Amino acid sequence: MLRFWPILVLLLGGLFYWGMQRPNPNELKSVLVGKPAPSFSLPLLEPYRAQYGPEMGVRAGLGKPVLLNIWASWCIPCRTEAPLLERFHQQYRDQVLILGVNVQDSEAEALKFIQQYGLTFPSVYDGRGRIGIEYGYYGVPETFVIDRNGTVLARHAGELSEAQLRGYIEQVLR
Amino acid sequence: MTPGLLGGVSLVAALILSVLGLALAVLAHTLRDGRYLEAAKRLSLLTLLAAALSFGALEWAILTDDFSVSYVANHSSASNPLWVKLVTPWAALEGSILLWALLQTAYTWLVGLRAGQSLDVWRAPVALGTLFAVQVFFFAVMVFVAHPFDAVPNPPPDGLGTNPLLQNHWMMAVHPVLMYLGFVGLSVPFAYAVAAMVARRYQSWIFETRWWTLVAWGFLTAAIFTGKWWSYEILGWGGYWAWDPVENASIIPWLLATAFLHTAQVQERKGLFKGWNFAFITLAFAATVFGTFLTRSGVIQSVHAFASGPVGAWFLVFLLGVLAVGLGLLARVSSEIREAGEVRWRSREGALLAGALFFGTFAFVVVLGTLWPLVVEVVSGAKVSVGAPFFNQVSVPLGIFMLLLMGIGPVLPWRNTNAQVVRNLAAMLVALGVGTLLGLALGLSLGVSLAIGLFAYNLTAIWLMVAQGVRERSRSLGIPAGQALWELASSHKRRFGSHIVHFGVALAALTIAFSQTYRVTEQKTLQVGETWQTRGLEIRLLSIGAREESNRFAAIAPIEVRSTSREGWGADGRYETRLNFYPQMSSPLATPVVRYSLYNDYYFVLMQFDQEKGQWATIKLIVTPMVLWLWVAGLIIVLGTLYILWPAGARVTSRQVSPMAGD
Amino acid sequence: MGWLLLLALALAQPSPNTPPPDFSPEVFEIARELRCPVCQGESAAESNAGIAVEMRRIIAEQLAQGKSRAEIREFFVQRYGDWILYEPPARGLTLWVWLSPLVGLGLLGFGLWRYLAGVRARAQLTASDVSEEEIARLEAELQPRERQP
Repeated sequence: MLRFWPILVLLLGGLFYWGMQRPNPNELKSVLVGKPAPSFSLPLLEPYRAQYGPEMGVRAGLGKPVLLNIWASWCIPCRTEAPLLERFHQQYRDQVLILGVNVQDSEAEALKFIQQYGLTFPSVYDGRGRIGIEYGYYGVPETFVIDRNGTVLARHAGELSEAQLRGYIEQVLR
Repeated sequence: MTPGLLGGVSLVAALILSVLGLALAVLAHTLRDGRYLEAAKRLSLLTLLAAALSFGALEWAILTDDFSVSYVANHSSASNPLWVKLVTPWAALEGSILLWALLQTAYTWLVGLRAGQSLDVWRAPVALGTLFAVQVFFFAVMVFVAHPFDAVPNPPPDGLGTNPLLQNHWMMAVHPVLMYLGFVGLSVPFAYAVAAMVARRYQSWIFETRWWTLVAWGFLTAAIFTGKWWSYEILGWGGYWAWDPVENASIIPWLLATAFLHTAQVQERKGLFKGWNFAFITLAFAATVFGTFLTRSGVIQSVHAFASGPVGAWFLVFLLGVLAVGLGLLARVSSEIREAGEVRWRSREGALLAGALFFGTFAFVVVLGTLWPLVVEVVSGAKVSVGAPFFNQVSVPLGIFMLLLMGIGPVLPWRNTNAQVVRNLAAMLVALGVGTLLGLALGLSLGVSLAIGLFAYNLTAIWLMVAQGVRERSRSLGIPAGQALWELASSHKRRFGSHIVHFGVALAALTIAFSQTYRVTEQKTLQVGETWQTRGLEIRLLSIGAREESNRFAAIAPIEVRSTSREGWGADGRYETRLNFYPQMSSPLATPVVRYSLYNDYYFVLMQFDQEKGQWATIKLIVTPMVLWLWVAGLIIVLGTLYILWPAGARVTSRQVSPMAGD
Repeated sequence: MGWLLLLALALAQPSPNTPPPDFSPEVFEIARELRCPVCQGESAAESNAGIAVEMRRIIAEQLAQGKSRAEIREFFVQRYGDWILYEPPARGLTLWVWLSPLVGLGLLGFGLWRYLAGVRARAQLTASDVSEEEIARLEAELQPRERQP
């Protein structure tokens, strides 16, 4: 049996080599993909209440695709992402709802962030991240792509690039 | 001469010298010329000096806040306290490899010194060559991939600082060094094994490496226990072993080394198991490389992981290389090792083999459990976790068998049983039963009761063996029992030392059973001045304040604790629970305050506090029984190991008339 | 209390300033079996990350509602998948990791048994290495020399 040692070594080597070559070892696939997005309704952050009302959220029968973006003021990649989301919001505001969910944050800091980047897409306040957990989030930023029937199409963990965001928008508008 | 320049030059020098040493060893082996061997031995001292110089240069750079050296800029800070600066070399990847390489050169030099006495000219070159090859690898990794002395073009005014988790406790100075001493130490028996297989002298290496293996094992054990203690004191979760992949990576070589220590005795006595011992030591050494590979490759998620990079691929190749060399040589010579003999299961050899079986299985389970998430991801793409609950449950049945064997083994004589032994075994089983029933009568769980029974069982075994030996000696020589005990202890160091170690292991098993089963965690938010009554304790929050320290900012919530019943015995005192805020960390580090007592440990952690008005604080309380005894057990094991290793003084003149039973 | 304001500013990760609920020991026992999603290998009981704190709160609430441990575990599995459990499910591929002690014992035990049998066989072989004919000759040599002059 000992003469099979090269096989053991090769197997181990192959396993570890694959392990090191994985593009995203820490990536977690969302179990919500293909399932209806969990509905919720959270209080909006102050600047948006005039336009959208006291609360907002994802619910059945919305009829519009949603890009749910989980963010926090202390998250560095969120700062790069915010202007990008704002631009796409301006362009597609009638077709796609871009909804931000502010987690693990204080309202004051969130408001400062919104002011700094001039964000006009609505964001709700989820101070302790309860709704984030409902969606199975494991970091910020995360973006959930929800089609007009309320089904989750994809979960993007990490910062969105312009190409990726465009791809998701096209996907939901099909 | 700047530290960076000195360090870089001496590092390259160490690499070149190691390559030269390897070349000389190869020449000595192929040409059968002892002069090359002598040159290689001398070179090993030079390599050690070069490595020490490089390490010293790194310390110099850190202590003088020389931020033109990349390692210092990335991992040190001018505001670090002195002791933190002294241990910063092994706080991050490049420096830790330098420490490893330095220790390897030291071991190689020592082997060179002793090789004259123990190794013949056929084997010494191979053994030294193997050790030089390992050195070449580590220095090459540093020179080509993970250079500590890279020059920083625009030195910043201050460095990025050290990981705060590594600054909280002085154990940082001790545990990694002990761990590396253990890991690197295993390279020596491995080198001897390779030499034995190449020179086709399969028996003598076992005797020669006895001391080396025990030293490495002792360091590993001490490192594991100090690591447990450090984790317990620092991390604020009240536990000492999380079955984190990197913790597993340190226990796998320990398990294999323990198995090897015991099967080596079978080979010493009976000349059997030669092939198995080669395999065990190869796997044990490979397991140490596996551990360093895991921490530096990013293959597995772990709290212990260093930053990953191209280093991982190098370590993978090295790991596969070690396995290939060891197993390949073994495959080549295994047909030559024609052993003949008889092993009866009801004998000491039987017990040792059965013990090795369980240690080997345990190592197998830990390896599989650690790697299974990766395997599952390769096969199906799904992500699963294999964590503490799994390992804790699986180690219970294995642990029980190992404790049973640990008791029986020394009691059984070599070759076969006799009536005296049967009587001893009966006494031990009675102790097992009584202990278990006692636990159940006290209302303890089945697992803990069984642990008490096993402790009594092992205690009885040790007592019987010692008493028997003392009785026989004092009777046959007509000396008082005390003197007989003293003489026996001095002349049979290995036996007595192993009694001490086994006692320590039994005690550790007992404390682990208690502390795991009866640990309780609770959390409550208190207003300033409010009292919390729980678990026989009265906890009062006194105030909330702050303190600024050189490298951090701390929020302090002193509490006053009074024990109100026997359950909370030993907890009285005033404790300053704190949250440490480090500038480079986004969330604060909760540092626990631990109150030890012989009975319970009381663990107080400040979780959160009122940031606006300072009126409330959230305190987490963890009560763990008997943890103190775990550290005592670790100390006992290390002392037992030292006892075995201690050079025998003037030997007690052999006045034995009859051989000691079972020896 | 000026230092507290300083502290609030020093905190890079601001979080809501409400005190968390009290947690019974059972909350931590359940949390210990769940992985903290955001940390590198800590359980939800040990970690201080925001997600872990919220997970403990969820566990406490569900316990108060009378949910069982299995139901609480299922709650998190529904949102994060099997990965959130530190104890791998005993089915499919992960069943094998539960069987690993038996597999290990079986493999090593079998190897040991084969080895010992081989060693014993070789011992008996060397014991009977001498052939019958040679034994007869020996016996003959050892007979008293009757016909020697």
